[in-house]
Amino acid sequence: MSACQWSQGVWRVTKIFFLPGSESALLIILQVYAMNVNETELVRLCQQDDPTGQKLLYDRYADRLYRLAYRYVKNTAEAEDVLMQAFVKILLNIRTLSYQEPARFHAWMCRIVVNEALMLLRRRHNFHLSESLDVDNPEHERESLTAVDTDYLYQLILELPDGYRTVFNLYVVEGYGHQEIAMMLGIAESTSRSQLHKAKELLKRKIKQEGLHYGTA
Amino acid sequence: MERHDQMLPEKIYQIERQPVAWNKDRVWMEVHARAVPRSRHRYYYRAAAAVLFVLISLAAWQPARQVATYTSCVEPVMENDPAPQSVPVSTPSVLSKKATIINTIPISKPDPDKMASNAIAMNDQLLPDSLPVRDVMIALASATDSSVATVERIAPIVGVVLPVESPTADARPRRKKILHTLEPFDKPAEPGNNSIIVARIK
Repeated sequence: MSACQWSQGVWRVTKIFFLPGSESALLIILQVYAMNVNETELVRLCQQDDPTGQKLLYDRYADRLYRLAYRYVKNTAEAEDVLMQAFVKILLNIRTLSYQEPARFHAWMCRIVVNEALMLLRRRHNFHLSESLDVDNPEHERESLTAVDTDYLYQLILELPDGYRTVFNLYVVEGYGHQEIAMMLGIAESTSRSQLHKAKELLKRKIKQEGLHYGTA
Repeated sequence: MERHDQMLPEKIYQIERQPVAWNKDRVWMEVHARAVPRSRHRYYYRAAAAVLFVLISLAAWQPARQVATYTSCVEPVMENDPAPQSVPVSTPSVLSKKATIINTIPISKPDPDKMASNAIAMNDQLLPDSLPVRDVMIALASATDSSVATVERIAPIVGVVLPVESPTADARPRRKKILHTLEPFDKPAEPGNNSIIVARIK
């Protein structure tokens, strides 16, 4: 048995004799110990259904995944539901995961959260995205959004309509291609391209309305 | 993706690393209820806690039990050991010039119950007992049990009573010399005064 399992066993036995108020002291000690646990060990603990490892995994990634879910659903309660469903799937499927490197593991978790968010959006909106006229090469526009303040840009992204925002997040932030986006959302690839173009146009208009400079690359 | 668009996700990721207020614990409770299986070793943890509790209780109870045992250790020793003990006896060499002969004489242990019953029979029942008779008998029995019994011949006290003639004060008081002799009563008394004759003085 590893040191973590021994400490967990001793803690669970003595927990029976401790009052609930003193459990916080033990949790603090465990959290200090958890800070020194690397991701490889963390994944191994979760694959062994270790409750302490699962709690540590949740504490380490829950905030970032919640912000990711919120960026899609733009609602606190729905973001929490999305995160809850996603984490249940993460903990159930991690047993069969072949862990390779931290970046791939994080990308895997993000993909699960995005899928859960899209499922909720599909139930809410059914994604009646208007298939407007195909825009010729919308990527030819060289306006850059990076010159805008990040926090303000983040707020503008949240203010976009659901369809625009979803495609913008999937393409610009998550790095999916239009073909993948079309498969995930059940839309045509051209629709995905037009939605992205419209999202950028809308952001550009709002930035100019605020009087900010919409710089070029 | 163009280069300027590659910087945008990094900026958004930086924003998403900032803490935000949400019901983190409540969501974990729901995740834990649905995804985390109950530990297979939970019964072992509870059994270990029960065993630990019993051991702690025994450790706290054992000193109290030892104190109670010490206070009553004399009584069980006296009751459960009726076997007689043999005590070595040695004769003194003062009166006899022969070598001391060591004999073993079996001495039975005094029965405190018999001694107590005899003491009670002799006691005045009207008088209250200051001490329980049985405890006194046990104390006596324990005291006599520890001593070594020896048999010795009692040396007779031999001496001559000599008269004491010394100018110093005699212990015997000198008897006062009787000046008058007493006559017998059968002798007729001389008429005399009107007095009762008790005795004639010669």
